[in-house]
Amino acid sequence: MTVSSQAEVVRFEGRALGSPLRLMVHGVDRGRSAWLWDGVLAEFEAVDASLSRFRDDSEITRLNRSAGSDQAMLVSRRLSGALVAADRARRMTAGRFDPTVLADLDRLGYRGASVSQVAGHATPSRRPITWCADGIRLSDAIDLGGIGKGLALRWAAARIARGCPHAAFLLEAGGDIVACGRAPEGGPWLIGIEDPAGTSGPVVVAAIDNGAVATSSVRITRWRSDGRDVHHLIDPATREPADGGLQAVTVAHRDPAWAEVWSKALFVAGRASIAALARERGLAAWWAPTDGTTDMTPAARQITTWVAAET
Amino acid sequence: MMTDRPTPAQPPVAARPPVAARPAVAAGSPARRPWHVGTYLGVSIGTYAVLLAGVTGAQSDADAALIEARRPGAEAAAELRAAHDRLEFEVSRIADRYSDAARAYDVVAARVAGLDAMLVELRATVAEVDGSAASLPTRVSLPAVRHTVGATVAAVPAVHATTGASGG
Repeated sequence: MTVSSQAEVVRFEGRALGSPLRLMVHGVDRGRSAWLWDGVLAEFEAVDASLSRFRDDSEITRLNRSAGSDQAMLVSRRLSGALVAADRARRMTAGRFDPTVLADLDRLGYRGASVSQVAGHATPSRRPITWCADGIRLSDAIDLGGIGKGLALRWAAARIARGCPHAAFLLEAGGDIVACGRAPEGGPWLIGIEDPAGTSGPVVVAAIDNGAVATSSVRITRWRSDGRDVHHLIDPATREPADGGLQAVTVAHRDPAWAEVWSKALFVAGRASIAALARERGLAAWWAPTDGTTDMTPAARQITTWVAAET
Repeated sequence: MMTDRPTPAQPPVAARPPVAARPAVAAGSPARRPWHVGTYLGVSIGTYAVLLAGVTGAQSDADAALIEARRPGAEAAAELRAAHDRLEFEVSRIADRYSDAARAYDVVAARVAGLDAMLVELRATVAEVDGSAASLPTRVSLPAVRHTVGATVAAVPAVHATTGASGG
């Protein structure tokens, strides 16, 4: 963990959920800021222990090992809330976001902790998660990677707001961001959207006051499987990596979990459908097709302050 | 004033024919009186009175029976008349309501006609907007601005954070 302070702004850095974790806070003293940072770390550690499919001892791994059987399992409120959110996201996105892709990721070689039932069903259940009197029962193994980081940001931001209601802060976890209040300069927080080609500068800068930004990109998490290039963003309709002509999708939303869900759902929708779907949902979304251009919705244009292609 | 008229000459009075001589009542015998006539007359009158009283009584009984027989009909007629009055009142009231409803219908019909006209205008507007919307592209690629005056290019603004692929 590194700490730096410039004027009244206090910055913290660490790692969580396999990604960099950063907190920038101002409007409170250093001791209070450190206390808030400890709370953020505790929240991310709890999420990791509960929702991470890469940990052999996590709750979700234990629950996934019971998938396909009639055995129900009592889980923590954190995991139960995450499953509720994931199930709702599946319904709200018409199945474009689907937590039952764990078996497909495993088949493609993107493996986490060993789950014996991970082979899953050829056709996943329409209701993979069942809540019953004696706990939760899964018909298919679940991957919360598409929403877990967003939920961790949601819960950590709420923890900061409860601990210090007047603090303005920006919390970033592996490229997903939640911002609250005004930036130290007095204006909105300025968030750069990275170039999916990997250049150093952003392709777009957006202004965020109270809200979140999340990006789904295949720039980093990609590998070769059976002689072909694959990535981790699975299209539930084909059970294969989404191949809709997009490199990255960024969504701004009030809630970091929904920003993450919609960035994945829009990525799966592909270049042909993303504009209509995002506009229909009123989303502020930016996307980078494989031809190197950058497009955005009208809602995104309203909060965009700078576009590389327009300079 | 009276005028003296000459008195007509009176014919000479003829001598009366001789009256047949009535049998002379013997002097000293009592005169016969018509008691039987009076008796007959009284009996006749009495009989007539009795008969008249009987006939009158019989007629009275017949009239009473007739009145009694006609009473239900009269009562039914009275009830029928009352029912008719009530029915007339109801019909009158319904007619008033019908008139009110007809007036209200006229008002509503006028409003519906106005709304119909507005709907026609709205349909035309929607069709126009729909056509405009359909002609809009689903995405707009903005052309790059070519800077021909000066060499300054807008610098990348300082950002507080960057969103992108996480690799996590």
